[in-house]
Amino acid sequence: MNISFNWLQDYITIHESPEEIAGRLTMAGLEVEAIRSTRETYANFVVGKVRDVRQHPNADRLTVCDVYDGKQTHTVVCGAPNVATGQKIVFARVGSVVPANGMHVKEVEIRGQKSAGMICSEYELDLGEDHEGILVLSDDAEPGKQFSEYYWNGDVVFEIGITPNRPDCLSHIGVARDIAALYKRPLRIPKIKLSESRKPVKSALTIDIQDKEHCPRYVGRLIEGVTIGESPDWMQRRLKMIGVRPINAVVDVTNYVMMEYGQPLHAFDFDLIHNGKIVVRLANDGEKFVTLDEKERTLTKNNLLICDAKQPVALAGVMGGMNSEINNETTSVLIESAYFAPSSVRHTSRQLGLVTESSYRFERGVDPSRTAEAADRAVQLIQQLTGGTMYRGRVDAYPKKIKPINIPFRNKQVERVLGIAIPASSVKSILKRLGVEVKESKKKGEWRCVVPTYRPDIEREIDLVEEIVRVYGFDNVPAQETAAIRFTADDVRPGIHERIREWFVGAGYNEVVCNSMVPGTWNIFTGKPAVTVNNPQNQDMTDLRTSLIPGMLQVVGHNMNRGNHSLRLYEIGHIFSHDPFPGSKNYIQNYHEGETIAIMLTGARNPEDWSLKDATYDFYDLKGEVESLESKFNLDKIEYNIYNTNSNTLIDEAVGIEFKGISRGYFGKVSKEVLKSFDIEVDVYAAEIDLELFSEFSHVEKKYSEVPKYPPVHRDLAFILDEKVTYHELDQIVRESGQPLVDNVSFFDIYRDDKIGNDKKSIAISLEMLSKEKTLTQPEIEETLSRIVKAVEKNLGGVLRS
Amino acid sequence: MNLDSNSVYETIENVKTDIQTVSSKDELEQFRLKYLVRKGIIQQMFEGIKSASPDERPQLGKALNELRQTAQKLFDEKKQELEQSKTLTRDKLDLTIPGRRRPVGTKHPVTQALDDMTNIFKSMGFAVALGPEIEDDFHNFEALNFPPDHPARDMQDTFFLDQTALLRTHTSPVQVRVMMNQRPPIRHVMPGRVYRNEAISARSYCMFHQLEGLAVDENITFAELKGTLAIFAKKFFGSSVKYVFRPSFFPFTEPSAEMDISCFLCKGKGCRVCKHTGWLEILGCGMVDPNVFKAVGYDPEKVTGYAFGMGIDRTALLLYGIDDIRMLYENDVRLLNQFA
Repeated sequence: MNISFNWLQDYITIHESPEEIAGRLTMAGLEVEAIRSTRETYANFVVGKVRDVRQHPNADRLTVCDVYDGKQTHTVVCGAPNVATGQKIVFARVGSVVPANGMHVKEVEIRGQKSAGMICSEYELDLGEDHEGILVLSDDAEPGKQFSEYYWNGDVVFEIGITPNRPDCLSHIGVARDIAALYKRPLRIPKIKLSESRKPVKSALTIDIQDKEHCPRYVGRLIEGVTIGESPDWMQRRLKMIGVRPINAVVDVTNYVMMEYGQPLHAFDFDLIHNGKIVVRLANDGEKFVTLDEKERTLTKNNLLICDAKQPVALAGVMGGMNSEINNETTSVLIESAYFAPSSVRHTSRQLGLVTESSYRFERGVDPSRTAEAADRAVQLIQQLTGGTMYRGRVDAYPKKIKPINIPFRNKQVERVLGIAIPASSVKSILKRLGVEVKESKKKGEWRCVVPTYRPDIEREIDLVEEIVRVYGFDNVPAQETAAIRFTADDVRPGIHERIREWFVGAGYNEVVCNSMVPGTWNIFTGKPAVTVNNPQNQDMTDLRTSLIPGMLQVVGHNMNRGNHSLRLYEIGHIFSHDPFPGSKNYIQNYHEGETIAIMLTGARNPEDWSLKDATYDFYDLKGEVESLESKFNLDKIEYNIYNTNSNTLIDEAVGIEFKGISRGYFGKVSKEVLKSFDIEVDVYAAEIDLELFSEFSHVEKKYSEVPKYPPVHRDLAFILDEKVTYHELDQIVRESGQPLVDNVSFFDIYRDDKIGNDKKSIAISLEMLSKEKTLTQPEIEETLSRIVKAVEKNLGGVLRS
Repeated sequence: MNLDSNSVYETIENVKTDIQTVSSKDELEQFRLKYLVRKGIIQQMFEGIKSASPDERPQLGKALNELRQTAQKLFDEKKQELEQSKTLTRDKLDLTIPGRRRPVGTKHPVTQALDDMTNIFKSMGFAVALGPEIEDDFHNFEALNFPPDHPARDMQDTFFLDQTALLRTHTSPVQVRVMMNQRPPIRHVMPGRVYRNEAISARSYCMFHQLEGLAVDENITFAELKGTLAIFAKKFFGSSVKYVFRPSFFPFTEPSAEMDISCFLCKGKGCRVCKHTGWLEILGCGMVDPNVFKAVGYDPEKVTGYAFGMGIDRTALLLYGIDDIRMLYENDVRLLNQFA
């Protein structure tokens, strides 16, 4: 809401500077987001006098003018056709900045002629559209006077961010009223004196409210014999100052009164209202109506309409219609001032995507007690501005009277909520200043507070507490730096997220954070039914991600384009689907949501180790990372299986991570197809693992098992095995058959060649054997080894390679 | 050549002196040529035995053999020494070249800010609660006292998934879930990702992160809220930070306030970042509205509570001096590596 500092002073006396008032308003909840001073906007714009106009020697359409700016005479080249000697004009001195376009005025040469300054048009001064000719001021304008003083009287505009609960402050009187309360000063509301004719309005106008829920009050006033013309300068300036475009005197008055009282008004050409009758009713489904912006709207039975005897003439509280608009031929005017139900106006405004100054105020709640006063003020101004004769009285249809509400208030609640006791006398004084009437109640310690109708936000005791502290000042509430905390045993497990991140940081990864809204094409890769956004911002954000991997691939692509080729990335984030998936939860019906961890490796394994410069990541690096991560979290029952990539095509040759029979993730080399769609030309390795695996199944309990006292013995064995035998199978057989001496089995080599056969491989393992009781003897070792060799031969068909 | 035992011993001394001066392969070769080759001094001395008297010959022979052995031994030793020193030169430790480094891991700047903030509240007795990012109208709006068809809903541009499901616009629905899951006392912080349908620019993105706080108990007051947040601000932004609470409006708190802190870049003097006001808006807060307590089945006559919520991403930008929010989600590793 734009508020003019000068305009405010019609209603309240202000001695303070604009900055001081702005600060106080901000601290009372009316946040002044910006202060625009005309003295700054129009710095170096002064009233000038054109002393001479000559033809430009080298250009037909240009003139060379001598402009006196109160101090000296400047030579200025001007292109306007209407410039003439003796005119008073607005002169932009060298060094000024043109408000309309931010252009800096400099000394220039135009076709060989020096020009020091500029004679301004309305457009350049941001006062209107006219940029053909220069703005000519009245003769009494005094050269040298600052334009900001001459035209704006040095006015300042506050841009106030009015929160949705404060419709009472969407006007100059409203803001003045709050200042009055804060500074304990009287408020001056304009006295309205009307000179009415003898003709009673009721003889010409009838109002029939058919839906009093949506329209509790409708006031009409008539004025005839008006001539439509421009409104006077003072009104135009006030409207322009707060960003309202002047149209004609009648429309300007309705806007002026709205900005003054906060009451939206509508002016109809009364001659276009059939039978002088206003009917307020709901629209029929499919009913069509053309609004002032020349658009045909299709309505539903939820939209409230203002109609005449024949047809709709306005969309209640939102916008008037083409068919009854004020035009140049209008002579009699019907002023509508109404109270429409906020939810009704909001509904229509949203349904039609039509937000106006009027709908904005109605949906927040206007004051139902000033409906008539605003109509009176409007006809008074119209008469003052355009002449015309007022009908006597007004038609005030008020079928559903809105009374001030009455709230029981316990002063002890102030202390209970704020933690500070404010004396009852101060509380009463604050409430009184805010227009709240405080009455004693029969109950001890309780008052009854009658709240003015312009404050629809105050409905409950707590709202009064809020008002009290708003005026009292949050600053005056002490910051209590102690608290009585009751301990609870919730949340005993330290955050799994933090622990996982610790591991990744220690392991040298960069964490990335990607958007959860992704293009639909990315979700095709995972094959999971994707959740789509009804109102996506653009085509790249239509879906919610079903995997973290595509987003991270985009990050990889982005980095590659910027020369970052070696990447070691992880992300922890939510993924979504319409179908359940391991680790997903179903908070909202039809939607499944879970958290996963993704790892991505590409490029040099360790670019900062010069001895390994050329080593690039491969599958075994990725697998090792996954295994290390899992061993850090004590997930010992993990099984790695071949992952079926039929539905999920992100990864080629993928390994599945299985825990207790449930697939909890997968990893492998990102498929060429997918990489291609991200314009990545190098190998990328990726893993994605359900976070629940870590949060639910990681062994938190730590238990010591005895460290062996006797030295271990190491023996290596190599077996020739069929290709189809997995390492996992070999490992298991060796461990089982090597009991009780085999303590650990580790892989150390794999080897294939023609000598051992086509479908064969040689796997070398290293055994660690030990006993808890004694040092092992050679026969014991030999016995165990031969048992292992036999078991491998029997179960896996493996042959010991000598 | 006149050979006698003296000259043999003299030669031994010479050999010993000479070998000491040898410090290179070439010099060693000179040594060899001087003493050890067929035409070298020692061999020539052997030749001289013939001209010695027969009684002296055995003794001279023995001495000469000793000489030859000594020379050979010294030569071998020197040769080995030189070879060793050659290897050493090749493998010599250069203390000035860089070591072999491992990559340094980083947490995303947003995570860092979020974790730092969360940890401060943990130290003040808050537990951590999390909630879903897909919410419904009830948790995101209605239970938080946003009535249907209320202008307050315009404060948060929402991404809808269907009639009621939506992407949460704030972390406040987690408040509702926490309160519905347990009874007071409650003292929780709730970090998480939220979504707003706002045009993407240097200043705003369609998703960001928030940290929500909630305390509900008997005797919770606005004064305590102020104290809690004041301590938080001092711990997070530095002990010299100044703060101010301004009245504001949120449907789920009454009274509501915004907390501004003195700009930590210009120390309140006014700069580009704080738009020359000297102040930065960092969070919204207030006392839990009785309607919220009613929605979750608490008696507002029995308990009071406070809630606060702050945007992480923008604060992180200010804190780290990043001037475009989109850079946070591009994840250029050259940016990420600055947050080790």
